[in-house]
Amino acid sequence: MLSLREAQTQFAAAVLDGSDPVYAVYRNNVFTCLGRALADAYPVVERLVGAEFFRHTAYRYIAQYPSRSGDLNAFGEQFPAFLRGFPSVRALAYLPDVARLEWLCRRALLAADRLPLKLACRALLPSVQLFASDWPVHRIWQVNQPGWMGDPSVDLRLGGIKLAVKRAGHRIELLPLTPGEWEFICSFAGRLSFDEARARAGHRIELLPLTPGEWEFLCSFAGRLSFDEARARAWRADSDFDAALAMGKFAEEELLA
Amino acid sequence: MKQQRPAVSAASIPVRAGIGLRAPHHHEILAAAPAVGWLEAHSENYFADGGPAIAALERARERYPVSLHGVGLSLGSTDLLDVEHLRKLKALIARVEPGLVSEHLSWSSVNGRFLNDLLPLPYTEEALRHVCARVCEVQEHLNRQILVENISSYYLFAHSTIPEWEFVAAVAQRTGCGLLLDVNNIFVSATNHQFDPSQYLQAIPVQAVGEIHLAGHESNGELLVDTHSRPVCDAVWALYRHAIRRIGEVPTLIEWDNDLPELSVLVAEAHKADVIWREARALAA
Repeated sequence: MLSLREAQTQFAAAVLDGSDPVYAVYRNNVFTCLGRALADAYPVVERLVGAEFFRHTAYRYIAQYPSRSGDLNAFGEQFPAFLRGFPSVRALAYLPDVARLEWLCRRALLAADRLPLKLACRALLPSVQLFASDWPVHRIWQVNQPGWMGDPSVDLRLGGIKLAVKRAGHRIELLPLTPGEWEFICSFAGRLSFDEARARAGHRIELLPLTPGEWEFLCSFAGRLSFDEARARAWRADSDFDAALAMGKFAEEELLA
Repeated sequence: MKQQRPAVSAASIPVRAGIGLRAPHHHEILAAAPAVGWLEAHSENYFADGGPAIAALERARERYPVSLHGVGLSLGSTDLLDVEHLRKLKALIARVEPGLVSEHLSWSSVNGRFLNDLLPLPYTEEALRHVCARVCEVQEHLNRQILVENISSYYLFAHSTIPEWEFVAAVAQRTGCGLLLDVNNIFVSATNHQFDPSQYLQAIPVQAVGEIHLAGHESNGELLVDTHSRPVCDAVWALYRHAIRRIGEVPTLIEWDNDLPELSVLVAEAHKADVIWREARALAA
């Protein structure tokens, strides 16, 4: 008799294969559910390419990058990389970067409200993400938000953008950063995200004295560079950079913990 | 960090009808506080460290008893249990203090790949032993009883040896878990596989049932599909009457996920369930 493992392996293969109509309801459920999860994560990409084309693209992605979690919020992380290699969207060179920005927005919406350690100062808030692109993705995102009433056109010659993606209450806000501000905040507040730092620390980050994991977390997350070193880097990127003004801006915009 | 203790005590899902809490209704539920007995949230939708969704659930929890209903744990899978998933679920339980925690008697992943759907089990002795071990593992990990729900199905394994209703009853008897009896799912599967739904109800151990689900389904021409996209149909209301005559006092939930209507439509469905339940109680008295 078929073992349970064999039965499940064969069943899943038949659903994904799609040639046997006996499994049609399940196949439809699987692709509809994952397609909708992807559209929820990438609404601007969906608007840019249209719902029909997005569905086609989503089905290709689902087949190529299987879901690895029962949590649908985790599905779609490789979509920007997939779009980069997807010939049908090659004409839209900025599309992978739009997707990359949307995934950061998703992460910002799910991130912790504050840090679990009082010591974790000089860190980006968990809900703040840093984003850079060679395309005017900021503008593309903006004109594709629901309710945008302004000029919908985007001049791709506007060039690249550096952004802080932040959560303001229920909404996502994009804060453009000058090259100096970008270099400073990347250097000073540390490049590791909260999740990466927490993963390194193995989730055991609330005990004192510090374990090796906690030490790693603090060193990585709070930044290895001193204020002076960070300011020097920022000056190399932007000779007009004013560290006091930048710190004031970051505090006002609630980027730092 | 300490969470504020919810105003409603943890174990109290009332014997009234509740509704599913869905993101498009968050704002209105918090603003209007509709007169429903309780709310049920899909656990995975709130697997977040912070942000607006979990904040809305916590605010709702200050006003209503809440039940957490999982759709992604893949309880019946032969893959190892996803401990990261369990860790998130346990953290959410600590944060929300739900009255009930439920999962599905199904699987959704194999060989590391998730299909993110509620897939049917073959009803065999091996599957029964496996599912029972998994339910025990989850209950031990969470340190609480869970309810398991019967699913709608569109496929029967030829090598099944146990009727579904006996399988469901045995899981409850062997593990001490509770049952979440989905009356619409019984109706859908009974129609698709041509069995008598009252025979199913008759086999269910009454004392194990901790919750009932009601939802709408659609026909695709060949099969009934559990779409959660419509009002509860008359035949399912009739089966519900039959179920509560036998089972008695259990909280009932109206589920609606696709083509989500105005909140008032869900509230009206919940009130309809309350009326039916009161009528049944009056008849029994």
